[in-house]
Amino acid sequence: MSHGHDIHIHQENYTFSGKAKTFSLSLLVIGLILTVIGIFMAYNAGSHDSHHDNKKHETVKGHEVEGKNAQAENPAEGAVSASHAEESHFNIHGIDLQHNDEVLHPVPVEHPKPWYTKVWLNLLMNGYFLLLISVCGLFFVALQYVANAGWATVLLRVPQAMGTIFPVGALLILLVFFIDGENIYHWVHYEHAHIKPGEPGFDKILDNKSWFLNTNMAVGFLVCVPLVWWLFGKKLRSMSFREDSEGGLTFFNKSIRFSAAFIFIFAFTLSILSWVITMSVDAHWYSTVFSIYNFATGWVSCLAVITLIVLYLKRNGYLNLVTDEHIHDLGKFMFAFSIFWTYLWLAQFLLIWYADIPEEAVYYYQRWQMPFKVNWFANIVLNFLVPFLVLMTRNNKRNPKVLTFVCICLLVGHWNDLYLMFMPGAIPNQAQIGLLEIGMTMTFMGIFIYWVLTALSKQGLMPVKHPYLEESAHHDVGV
Amino acid sequence: MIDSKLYLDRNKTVMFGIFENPDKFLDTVGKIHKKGANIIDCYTPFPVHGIEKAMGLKRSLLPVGAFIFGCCGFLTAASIQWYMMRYDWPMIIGGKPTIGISFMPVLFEMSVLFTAFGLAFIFFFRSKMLHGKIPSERVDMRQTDDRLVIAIATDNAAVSKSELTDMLFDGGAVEVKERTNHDYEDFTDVEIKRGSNI
Repeated sequence: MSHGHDIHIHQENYTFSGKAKTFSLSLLVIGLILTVIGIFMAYNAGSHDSHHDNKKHETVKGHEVEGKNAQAENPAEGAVSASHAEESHFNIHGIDLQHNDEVLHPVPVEHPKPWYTKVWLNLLMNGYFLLLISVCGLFFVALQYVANAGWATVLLRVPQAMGTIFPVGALLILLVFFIDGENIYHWVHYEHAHIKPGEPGFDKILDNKSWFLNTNMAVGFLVCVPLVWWLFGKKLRSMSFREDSEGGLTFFNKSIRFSAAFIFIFAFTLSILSWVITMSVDAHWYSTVFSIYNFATGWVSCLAVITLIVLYLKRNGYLNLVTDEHIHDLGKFMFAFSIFWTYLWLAQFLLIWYADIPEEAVYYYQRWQMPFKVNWFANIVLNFLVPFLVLMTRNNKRNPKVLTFVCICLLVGHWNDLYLMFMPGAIPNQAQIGLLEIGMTMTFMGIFIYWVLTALSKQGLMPVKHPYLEESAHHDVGV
Repeated sequence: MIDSKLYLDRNKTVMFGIFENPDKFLDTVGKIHKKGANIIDCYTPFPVHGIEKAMGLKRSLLPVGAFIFGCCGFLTAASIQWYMMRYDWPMIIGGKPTIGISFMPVLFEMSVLFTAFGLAFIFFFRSKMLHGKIPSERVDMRQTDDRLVIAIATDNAAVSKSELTDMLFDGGAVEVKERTNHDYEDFTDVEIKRGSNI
């Protein structure tokens, strides 16, 4: 339809070598070294503390039972003591809260954590981030088919390659769940304790949730959901590659149907995984907007990664059909969904802050303590202010350097967001961004880059027989 | 603010090329623009992608309008909330501060509301679709159905009329007309055949 520049559609083959390979491998190696140093540091710091924590825990348990019973007898007194407690500035960090004789109603009754929980938790968090980014890549592909959208066809192979790595994240999550689930998730710990109603330490909230929050259910979802996603991803990929060689509309039409089914299933299953993996870290707390908020985090990060890979490929002379117009649209996508993320973030925060119900507010109370307060504000700056202000103008959305900067900010920001979801609930007293966190993240970056670029190099970069390729090549967002 | 040349009735003579095929239309518009002819506007029943570039339109100031309207909405919301909740009759609800983050939803909604209404207004104004629009803008009844129309001012033509006619017919125009404006809403349209002497 358009004119002005000639378009030459041909297959491109990416070779993964040289700088990119060295970069990903060195990230991996340096990350591993830092991780090992971090583990030793955590061991040295933690081996002394955990003994101390154990002692504290014993004294705490007595208070807690007393507090609970007292509250059951007189609910009004509970409310009074709660407001009283607010004035006395006690520390709400997990078990420290219990030091005070006055007990807020559903106090997160935590158990002491050994030093290695921090290591496993980092693995869990990065594995979950990997899973989110990767499966959102798959969602990106499915979305283009279902929406009958043509603009992204020239860069469709990038999210397609990203969608191959989530089984790694899923396996890591499962591994961590088996090895250290008891220390990370309080409900697993509680389940193993087998406390009956009326016995000391009985927790009504966890008991009510136990139909969903139990090991069988969690393992079932952690195994089945990624398996179903993987089957869909495999089918979509194989159809796309067969289309390259065989052509015709059959594969395209079939892909639309498979994508629609995938999106339908994805909506429910990602929600369930976000409850099982992330929200249940704070097992007493819940938020109804949490799953979509998790999706927003993954989706924005996924768009940032797609943009970074496309810019990298373009700089190295690949993806010749990708023009400023496509880059501009990716920028718009990131801009829009950063606001979407902020909207959900604020929706979750504002209602809890305004209603100020203790069992809900405790979640944010914890995140308003140092050292998490820094992360809390970094969240707003990196995930909202930077993309909102920088990506507002058209020129910035078309400028690769500015986009790269914003993408990196978004990735750091959403990593930070996940950090705030996991750490304050699971290891409030040990959490600190140090060598372990940085090293582990670098390792994951190395694995991700190596895996995705290898996947990209295995097949052509262009879906040459895709019916919308021509349309995508002529994509024009106007003046 | 608005280029008077953009109005059909502010030029003495205007030439219309009426097309059936959007691809041919787009090509011809591009060629005519490159020749240096003064294109007033293009009327199409559906959006033709790439027409802005072909016509040589400058970037729209609509985003600036959006920003200004958004700021107006933000300030309006902030000032009414400040006046009602802080200045005139301070109300403490749930022990929350009378000013602060709880203002956020209203600030957001008012910004969006003002932006949406403002942009709709600007859009109607700029595309001459407000009440009291100039009837002569409708060049051909079929421009809202299946015909694409280009209007070219021929008063101080950089390109001669005969050359323009040839370009339009060569590009695939099914009809070419010339309009002479005598007075406001008073004009005569003459159909031009290929090769006729003008």
